[in-house]
Amino acid sequence: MNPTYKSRFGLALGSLTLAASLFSCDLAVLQDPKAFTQDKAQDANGAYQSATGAVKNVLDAHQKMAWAAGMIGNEEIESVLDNAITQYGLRIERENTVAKDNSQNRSIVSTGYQGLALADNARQAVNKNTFSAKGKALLLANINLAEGIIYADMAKFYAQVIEFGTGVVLSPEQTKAKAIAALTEAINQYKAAAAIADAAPERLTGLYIDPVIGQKFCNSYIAMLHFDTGTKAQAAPFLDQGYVAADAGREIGIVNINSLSGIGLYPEWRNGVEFQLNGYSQKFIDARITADTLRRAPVRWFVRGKNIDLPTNRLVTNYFFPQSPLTATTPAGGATLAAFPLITWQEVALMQADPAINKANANDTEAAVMVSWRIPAARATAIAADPAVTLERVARYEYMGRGRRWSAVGTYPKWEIANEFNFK
Amino acid sequence: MKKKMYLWIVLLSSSIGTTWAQTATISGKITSQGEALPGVSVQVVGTVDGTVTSLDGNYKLSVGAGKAIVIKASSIGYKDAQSTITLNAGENRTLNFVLEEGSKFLEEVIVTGLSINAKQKELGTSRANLGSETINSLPAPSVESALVGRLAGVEAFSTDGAPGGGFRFRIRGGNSISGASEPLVIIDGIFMDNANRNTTSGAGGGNNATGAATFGMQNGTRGLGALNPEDIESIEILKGAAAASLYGSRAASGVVVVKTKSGGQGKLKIDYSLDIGTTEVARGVGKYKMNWTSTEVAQWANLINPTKSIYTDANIAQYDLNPRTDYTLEGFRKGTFSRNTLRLQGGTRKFGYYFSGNVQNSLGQIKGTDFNTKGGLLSLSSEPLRGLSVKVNLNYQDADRSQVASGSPGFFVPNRWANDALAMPFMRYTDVKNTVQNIKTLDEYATLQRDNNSTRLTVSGNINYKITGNLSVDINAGIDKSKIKGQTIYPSGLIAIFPTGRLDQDYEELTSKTLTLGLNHAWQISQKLYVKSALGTQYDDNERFYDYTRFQTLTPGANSRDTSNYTAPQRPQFFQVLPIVRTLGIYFNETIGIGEKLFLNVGGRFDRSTSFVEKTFFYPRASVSYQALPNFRVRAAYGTSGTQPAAYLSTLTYRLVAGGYNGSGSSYVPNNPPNPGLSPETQTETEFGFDASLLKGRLNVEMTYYNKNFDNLLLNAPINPALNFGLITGIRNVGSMYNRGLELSINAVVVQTPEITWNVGFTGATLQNKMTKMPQPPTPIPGGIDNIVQIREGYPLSGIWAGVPFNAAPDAPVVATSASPNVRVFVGNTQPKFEGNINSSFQYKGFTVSTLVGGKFGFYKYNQTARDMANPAKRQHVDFWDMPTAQLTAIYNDQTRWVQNADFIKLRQLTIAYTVPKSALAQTKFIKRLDVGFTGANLAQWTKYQGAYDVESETSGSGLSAAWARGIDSWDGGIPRTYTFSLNIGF
Repeated sequence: MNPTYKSRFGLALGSLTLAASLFSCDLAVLQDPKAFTQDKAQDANGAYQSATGAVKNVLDAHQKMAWAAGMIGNEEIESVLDNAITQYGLRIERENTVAKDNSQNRSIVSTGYQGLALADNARQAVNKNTFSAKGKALLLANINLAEGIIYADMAKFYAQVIEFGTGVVLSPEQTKAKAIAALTEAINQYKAAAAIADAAPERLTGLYIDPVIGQKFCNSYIAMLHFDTGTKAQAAPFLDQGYVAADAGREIGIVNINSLSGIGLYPEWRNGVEFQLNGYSQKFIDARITADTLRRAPVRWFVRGKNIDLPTNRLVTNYFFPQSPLTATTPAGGATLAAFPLITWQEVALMQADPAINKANANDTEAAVMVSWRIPAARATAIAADPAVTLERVARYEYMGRGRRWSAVGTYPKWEIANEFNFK
Repeated sequence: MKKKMYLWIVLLSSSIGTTWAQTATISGKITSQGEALPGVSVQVVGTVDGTVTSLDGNYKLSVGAGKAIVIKASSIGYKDAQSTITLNAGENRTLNFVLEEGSKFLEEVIVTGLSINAKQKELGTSRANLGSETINSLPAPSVESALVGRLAGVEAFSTDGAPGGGFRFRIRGGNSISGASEPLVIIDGIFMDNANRNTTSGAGGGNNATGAATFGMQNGTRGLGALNPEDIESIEILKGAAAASLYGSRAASGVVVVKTKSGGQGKLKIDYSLDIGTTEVARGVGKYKMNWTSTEVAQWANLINPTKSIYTDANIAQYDLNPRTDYTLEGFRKGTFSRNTLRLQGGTRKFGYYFSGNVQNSLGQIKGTDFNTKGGLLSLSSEPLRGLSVKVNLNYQDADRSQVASGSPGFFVPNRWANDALAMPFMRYTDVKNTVQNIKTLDEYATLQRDNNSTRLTVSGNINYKITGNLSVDINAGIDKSKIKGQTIYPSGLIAIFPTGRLDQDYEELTSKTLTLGLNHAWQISQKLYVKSALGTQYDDNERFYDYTRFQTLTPGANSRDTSNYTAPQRPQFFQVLPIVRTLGIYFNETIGIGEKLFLNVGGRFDRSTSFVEKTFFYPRASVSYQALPNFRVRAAYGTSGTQPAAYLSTLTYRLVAGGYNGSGSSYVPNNPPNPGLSPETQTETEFGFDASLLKGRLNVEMTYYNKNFDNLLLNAPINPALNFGLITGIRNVGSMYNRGLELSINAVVVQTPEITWNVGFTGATLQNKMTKMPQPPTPIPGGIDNIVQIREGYPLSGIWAGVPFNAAPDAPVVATSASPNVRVFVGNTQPKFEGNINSSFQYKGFTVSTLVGGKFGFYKYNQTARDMANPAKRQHVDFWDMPTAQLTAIYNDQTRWVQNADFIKLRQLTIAYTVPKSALAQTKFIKRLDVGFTGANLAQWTKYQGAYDVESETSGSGLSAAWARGIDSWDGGIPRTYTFSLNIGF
C-alpha cells in the first residue's frame, strides 16, 4: 500500500481506536458527584446533615405512629359521618391510611425507615471523618437515640417489621432488643460526651446535646418500653436513672412541628384549620363520640403554661388531649415556645409508683402529677384519694398527652407487614 | 463478521464471468492522486464481465479478442474513467487508469444528521424535511412555528401564546410519560438542550413553603425558539426509532436535525429582511354572557347573594350598564413585533463566510408580556487542502422575556372575581363605582410577572477529510452553553398567599458538549452492487447548575424588583448542581445497493450513559427499500431507540430540608432511591410505506404506516421502604404503551405553465395510542386541574376521566365533588385521532398566494373555562347564568358535561407575496432581489367548541414531569392571530 495512503488510513483507524478506548472506560468513574449524592452525604458535613435528618425523620415517624395508634379506634374507622369529617378524618376513611392498611409501605413507617437510613449513613460518615471527641460522641448519641426511638415504636406498634436494608423480618421482641441496645449505646455516648469538658466545635444545631438530659431520656424511654411491652419489672434500674420532677421543662422533645412534614401532633396552622387535635377537631371528636359525652373532653384541657381547672363534670373523662406548645395566638410560621416532651418526668414518676416497681406512693404521685397539670393541690389530693381514679387512669392521661393511648389501653391490634413486601 | 461478508461478496462478484473462446488479458493499476485504489470496479461495458481491483489497486481481466471493447473503471467517490481498446487473441496488455475524485457518493445528501452519506431512496423510512426555500417563504416568528402543519405526524402546539413561549412537539404521538416527549434537537451536529427554560421550582404554598408558586408561568424560552428562522438551511425530522436508531438512547421522541446556512457561494451577497406585524387574541371566550339588562343584573345579584348582604339595591344600581364591553378581553391588547435580519455571505471554496445579525422585538398581545432578542450567526468554511473541508459555526442569542401569571388573562379574570366581592364578574373595572373594596385592576395583576434573560452560545466545528475518494472521516465537535436569569415578582398586597410581597430569583446554567467521530466508506463491488459503510462514535455531556434565592416582605410602595427593598432575611433557598450526564455511543450502518433498485440498510448503536451506569444498550435498525417501478418505491423499516432516565434517577440522592428536633438545623432526606438497574425507556418501531410519483412527476404520494411499541416506560412504582431508604415509590421501568398511525403526504402540481404555477399539498396523520401496562396494583396517574387527565392501563395516554354524578342518598340531589369524585369514567381522548393540513401555493408572474388550512379531529377537551363561568358563585355562562343554585351546582359539578369534542378547522396561514422582476431591478445598481409579502396567521377557525381564546388553547403541564397532561382548557391565551408584512432585499 502506498505509504501516504497507509498513513491516512492509519489516522482514521487511530481515531476510531481512540473512540473505542473511550467507550471501554468506566463511565461510572467519570460521574461527577456534585449533587447531594452518597459521597457527599458521607463527608463531615454529611455526617451532621444525616444525623439531624435521622432525628427529624424519626420524630416525624414517631408522631405519625403515635397519632395513628393513639387516636384511631374502631368506632372512628367504621363510622361514617360526613358532616363531621375533617381533612384527616377524610384521609383516614378515603385512603384507608391506618388500621386496614398496616402502613408498612405508607408514610407512617416509611418516614421511620428514612430515619434509619440516615442514621446508618450518619454513622458511616462519623467513622470516615474527623471530629472532636465530644462532637463525635454527641453525634453518635443522637444517631443511636434516633434509632432507639424508632425501633421502640416498631416494637410497640407492629407485629413484625422488615429490618432496614436487609429485608429480614423482625419480631417485636427483636425490635425491642434493638431499641434497648441503641438507647443503651446512646447513654454510653452521652456519658462519654459528659466526661469531656471541651465545648464541641462542630455544628450540632437541631441535635440533643445536653448529655445529662440525654442519658435521663434514654433511661426513661427504655423503662417506658418495658412498661409498654409487658416487662415492667425490668424497667426498675432505668427508672432510677430517668427523669425527675426537677427536669420539668428540660425534657427532650419536639419543637417547631410546623417545619416537620407529615401529620404530626400539631397541624393546627395548616389548611386553614385553627386547631386540630391529633388530627381531629373538637367538632370531629364530639360528632364521633356521640354516645358517651363524658369522653368528649374539651380539647384545650391539657395546656402547658396555662392554669385551667379540670371541670368536675368531666372527672371520668377517658381522653386527654395535648395542645401544641404554640400559643393560640402565634401566627403561622411564628416562633415556637417549648419542646413537647417525648416522655415526661410525670410518666417516670407514675411508673415508679406502679405496683410492679413500687418505688413511690401511688396517691402522692398521682397528686403531684395532677398539680403539675395546674390542678390546685387540695383538689389534686382529693382526686388522687378517690378510689375511682386509679394510677392507671392518671397514667393514661399522661400517656394521652404523648399520643400513646394505644400503648396504655391496648385495645388496638398491632399492624402487620403489607403482603407485597413480606419477604423481599 | 462484516469482513467475511465483504469477502463473500467479492468472491461472488469475481466469479461472475464466462470463459471466452478467444480471449486476451488486460491488467493494470488504478490510482488516484498517486495512490492505489482498491475495490474499483473494472467492467467491460455492455457485458457482465468485470472485476475489482485488489488492495494494491491492481486488476486482471480476461476479455474477448478481435473486436473493440470499452473498459470502464468506476468507484464510489470517483468519476468514471473508460478506454476503448481492441486486443488480439492471447494478447496481454496493460491498461492503467487514473481516477479523478468525484461526488458520486460521499457528497450525497446527508439525511440522518450523523454524517452518514445516504440518498433518500436508499432509506426505508419516510421523508420529513423542510428546506430553506420553504422556511424562508414563511414569515414565521420562530423555527418551530414554521413546522406547524407542514409535516405529517409532527404536531407542534403552543400553550400560552405569549411571545417567546415556544412550541411543544409531539412526533407520532406522546412518546414518554416521565420525560417531556420532546425530540432531540441537533444543530450543526451539536446537541441543543431544548428543554423548557423556566426554572422556578414548582408550586409551593405560603411564605413558609420552599417552592415557588408559579401561577402557570412554566412556559420558558426554548433553544429552538430562539433560533432565527432566516438562518436555517434545512430541517430534517427523524420521526421514530426506525429512522433515529443511530441516536440510541435519546431518540425515542424523534430527532430534529437543523442545518444552518453557510457561505462560499461566490461574490459577497447582502440580504436584508424585515418582518413587521401585529398580533391579537384569536377570539373571545365562548359562552360568555356579554350583554346584561338592568333586570338581569338584579336577577344575577339576587341569585348570587339572596340576602342582599353584599349586593344591596343601591350597589346594584350604581353599575353603569352601557356601553358594555367584553370583560374577558380586558387582559389583551394589540401586540406588535418586528424582526430585522441582515445577512452577508460569500467567498470561495478556499474560504467562505456567512454572517447574519438579527434584532427581534415583540410586544405580546397579552398585557404584561414581551420578548426581545438579538443575536447572530457566524459561519466560516474553508477547504485549505484538497479533500479537507473545515467549517466553524458560532451562534449567539440574547433574549429577554416577560410573562404574566398563567401567561394569559386566565389568571387575572378569576382572581379579580374572587377578590373583589363587589365587582360583578361581567363588569369592566371602570364600571365598579364602589371604592371601598380593594379592587385590583388588570394592570395591577399584570405586575405579578416573571422576567427572564437567557443567553445562548453555540459553537460547532466540523472537519471532513476525504482520505481517498471513497473513504472519508468526519469530526464534529461543539458546545452549547446557555444561561438564564429569571425572577418572579409577587408585588406586595396583590396575592393572598404572599401578602407582604416576594421576589424569587433563579439562575440556571446549562452546558452541553458533543463530539462525533465518523468514518464513511463506499465500495463499488460491481456495476450493480455497492456497499456503503459508516462507523462512528459520539460522546456528549450535559451539565446543569441551578440556584434559587427568595426575598420576602417588601417595603410598602417600594420597587418590587429591587432586592434591597425586602426586609426579611435574604437567603439562598435552593442550590443544585446535577450530575453531569455523559453518554457515549458507537454507531455503524451498512447500506447495500443492488442494481439501483434494492437497498438494504443494517445498523445500530451501542450506548452507555451515566444515567444508566451499569449497562450498555444496543439499538439495532434495519430497512429495505425497493424501487419496484421507476416511479414507485416500497419500503419497510425497523428500529429501536430509547429515552434516557434523568441523570439523578439511577443513584441515591438527597435533598436538603429543615431538620433536627426543632427544625433549626439543616438535614438531608433521601430524595431518590438508588436504582442501578434503571434502563432507558425503549421504543421499537416498524414502518411500511410507499412513495409514488405519477403524471410525470406532477403528483407525488407518500404513505406510511407505523407501529411504535414502548416498553420499560419510567413510572413511579411502589417499592419496599425498608430496602429503599424509606421511600415508598421509585421510578422503575414498568410501563408499556403503543402509538400507531397512518401518514399520508400528497403533493400535486395542479397547473404549470410558463406564467402560472399552482401547487397543492396535503399532509394527514392518524394516531392510535393505548397504555398497555402499568405498575401493579393498578393506580391511575392523575394530572391537570381536578386530576381530570389520567393515565390508566388499557386507555389512551392523557385520557379524560371525569367524575360521575352520584346520589348520596336515594332522595338527595345528584351531586359530584369536583376535586375528588368517588367515581370517574373515561370520557374522551385528548389526543387527536386525525390531523390534516392542506397547503396551496399559487404563483402568477411574480405574485404568490399561499394558504395553509388545517384541522384536528376526534379529540376532547376539558372545558374548564366554560365550567368556571358556570360556577354558581360567578354565573356568566350564557346558557346557565339564571338557573336555580341547586340545579346549576349539579351542572357545575358534573365533570362529564364539560368534556367536549374540540374538532376544528383553521385557516392557519394566508400569504400574498410579490417578487419584483429582475428586469425592473436592473435599473438599480445594487438591488438584486426584492420581495414583499403580507401574511396572516391563525386567521379563522371553524369549530363547535366554545372555550377560551383559541380553539387550540391548552393549559401547560406543570413542567416536564407532567407534559403528558394535555387537553385542559383553562383561560389560556392560545395561538394569537398575526398579521405580518415582510420585506426581503438582496444586494
